[in-house]
Amino acid sequence: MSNDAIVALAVNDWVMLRMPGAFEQGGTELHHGLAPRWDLTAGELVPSRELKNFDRQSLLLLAAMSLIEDANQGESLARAAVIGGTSNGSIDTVIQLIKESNESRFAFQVNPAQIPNTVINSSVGQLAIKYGIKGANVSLCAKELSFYSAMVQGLRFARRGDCERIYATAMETFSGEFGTLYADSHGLDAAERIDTAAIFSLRTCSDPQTPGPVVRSCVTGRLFPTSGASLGDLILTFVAGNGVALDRLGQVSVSVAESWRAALDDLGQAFGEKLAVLQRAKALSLSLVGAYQLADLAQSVKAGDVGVMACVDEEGFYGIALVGCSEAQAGAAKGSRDSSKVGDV
Amino acid sequence: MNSSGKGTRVVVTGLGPVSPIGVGKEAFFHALKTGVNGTVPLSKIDTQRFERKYGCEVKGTIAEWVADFDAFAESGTPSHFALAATGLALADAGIERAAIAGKRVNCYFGTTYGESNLIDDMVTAMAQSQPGLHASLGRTFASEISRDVARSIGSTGEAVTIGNACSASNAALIFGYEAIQAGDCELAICGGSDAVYKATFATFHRLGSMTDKDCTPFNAGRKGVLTSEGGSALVLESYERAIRRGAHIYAEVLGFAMNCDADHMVRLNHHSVGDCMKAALANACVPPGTVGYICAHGTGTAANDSNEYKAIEAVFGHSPPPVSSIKSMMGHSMGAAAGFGAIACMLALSEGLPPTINVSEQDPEIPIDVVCEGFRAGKVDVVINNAFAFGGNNSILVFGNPK
Amino acid sequence: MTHVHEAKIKEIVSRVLGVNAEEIQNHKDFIEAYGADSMSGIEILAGIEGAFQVRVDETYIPRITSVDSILSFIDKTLEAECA
Repeated sequence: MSNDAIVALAVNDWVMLRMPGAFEQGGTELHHGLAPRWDLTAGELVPSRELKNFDRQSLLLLAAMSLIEDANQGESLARAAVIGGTSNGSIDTVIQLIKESNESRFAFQVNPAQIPNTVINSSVGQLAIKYGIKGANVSLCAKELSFYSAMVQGLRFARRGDCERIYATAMETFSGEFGTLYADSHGLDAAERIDTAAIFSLRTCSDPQTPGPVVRSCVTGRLFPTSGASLGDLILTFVAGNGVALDRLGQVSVSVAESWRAALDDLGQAFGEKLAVLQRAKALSLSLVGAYQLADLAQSVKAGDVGVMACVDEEGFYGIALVGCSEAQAGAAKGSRDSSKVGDV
Repeated sequence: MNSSGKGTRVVVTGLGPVSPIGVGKEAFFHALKTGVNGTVPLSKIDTQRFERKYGCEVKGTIAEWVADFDAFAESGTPSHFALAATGLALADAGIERAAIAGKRVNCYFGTTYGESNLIDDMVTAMAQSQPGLHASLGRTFASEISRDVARSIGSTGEAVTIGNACSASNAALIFGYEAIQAGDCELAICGGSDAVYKATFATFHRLGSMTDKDCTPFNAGRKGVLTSEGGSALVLESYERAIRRGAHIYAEVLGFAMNCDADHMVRLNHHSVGDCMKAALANACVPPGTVGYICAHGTGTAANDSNEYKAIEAVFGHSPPPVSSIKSMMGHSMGAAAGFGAIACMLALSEGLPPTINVSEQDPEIPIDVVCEGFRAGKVDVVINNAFAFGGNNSILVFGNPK
Repeated sequence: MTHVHEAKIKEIVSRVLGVNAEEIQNHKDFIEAYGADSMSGIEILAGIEGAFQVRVDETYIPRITSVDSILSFIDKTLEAECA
């Protein structure tokens, strides 16, 4: 039985792949700064003959995974786990199936090749098949808290000792019919509604001196606005409860809904210049919220510091996580890759 | 053998089935014991353009089982099922809502299709360019199923919907179990929900995996699933809390396992399923010989039942425990199915084994005891609840009578 | 008539199995020769329904094993539709 206090998740590597248009036009990779392009018909992600069985979401997730630099090989991932955050699964594929059903001669005449993509857990299922990832595989739907829930579960999986490696993912496609409606409803402009897949390769660790960013603790719950407790108190309590002194705090990244904006003054007083408020478009990116925040902290948290990320929605559903970095800083930053094309698959 | 040395003990103290064969524990158990066949001509979807006409549907007015229905009137049917199931489970556990309001009660609900009727309405509205799409979007998120339950009970705890398709409610139970063990909460509501849905019906027909009228698991010439619906909820509680308040304890969660076939999106891999069963037994510290009953995934497709049998044989050899499929009675309720299986396990641990009905000619390639003669009186002490899903997601739980 | 069907059938099989139509031999088993899996038969059935605007019952799935096997039942199926 591992000790809760010291089992944590070290961040091996991460990518956030943003794909504004067709795959051939390329995307932007946050972290290694690549501009990856794929020729899907040349079988660079999946064999051409299988392309008809994948939807945009699955391809995006596979593309992101291909950029992870943790030497993932099929055999060694037999015990790895996948925890996928998603707001509504492959909702566009579902919409397409319903339309086919409505418009065909018979209501069951839907495209069978896309049927497996209509369940919420389809994309992470395709990921598991491609990479031979045979540990626990779960898809979590909690809107902006999906990735936080993924970190909560990741820490529990780690404590269980069944897997040394966990891939935490988040993905949204704003270019699809559902995503377009969602983005329209929030007045997001074109540059703010880019299809994005995030993957964090996490490694179970119990050594507090593990170099690099480490997810130490995470909790989700609900704070009632009428409860009298403030968001600031909640975060401070969580930080203190994890044995972290205020002077060790690095960045405090928060994503708050409009109705909690007043709490920002309170937070500003508590954390001063350490407070970073997530830009609106990212705050509205559903399951990607926590991924953006973890990416920020992974890059900014300094040796010896502990970063905090927090998110609260209109109703007070919240998530808070601590991301630390030991005094023994990670080695030299990984060099940029020679090729902007994916060649490792 | 108890689970000492594994930390906090977790027990099941309340059951809330909202099913096509009975709503509420008494009705559900009675239906299982009498071997009810829940097949009906479907009325909740328009079957005119379908060739198949049968499925299983929850009967009755859902609003009657949800105390605060007005607050959730615009939620999807799956939310309503989850709310009703939760209400029943809490009442069955003897837990007053006032006693838990404002407390950390984690809510984990599994689903395959999420708020399906709202998604269907949305597609219709899109096609007709109806106004009001933006306003109704928020309610279509799958998160709303678990969140509605959390809203209803005023919980300050975690609320997550697990989109793990046909094994999702076992994943929900596992999450609740681990949350209590981790000290994150003392009480968790765990289950699943899905509603009869055009997409489900179309999908299983197109895959050639849907039966025409009766669901006949383990039979020669079995033709497939019967689509169904419902909401299943169980109250999980720390053993200490349950004892302290004098709760009725149905069972203890002895252990579990989750894995992924990583092989095929639809077709089961019996090696991987067998591994998952072995891992669950090992996690529970339960030797295979002590298992008294397996509540099968038992969908009634040619492939599932054969593969499930092969997995069972790999784990138990030539003398496996009795196995039955409650899907023979109530069809495949997708995200709620494993939760109903868990509730049926509670019957096995207290009174006797639910049957597999419709066994007219058992498949000679599945030579196991499938409890085909009807309900078999006589409780057992250790049971397994199997659940497998598209995407290769397997989740298996082991329950036992507490020692 | 069969010749016309053969070209269309091969086009469907080619698309589903990812094999060039010219390389498909009528007698070859889809699984053994062309790497078909359990979903391939279903996809081919759906393709036949779409291309011929015909209804093919799912009970035919086990018979979708080669171009020859499809040709052996497609005539009857089309006749039944037109009747």
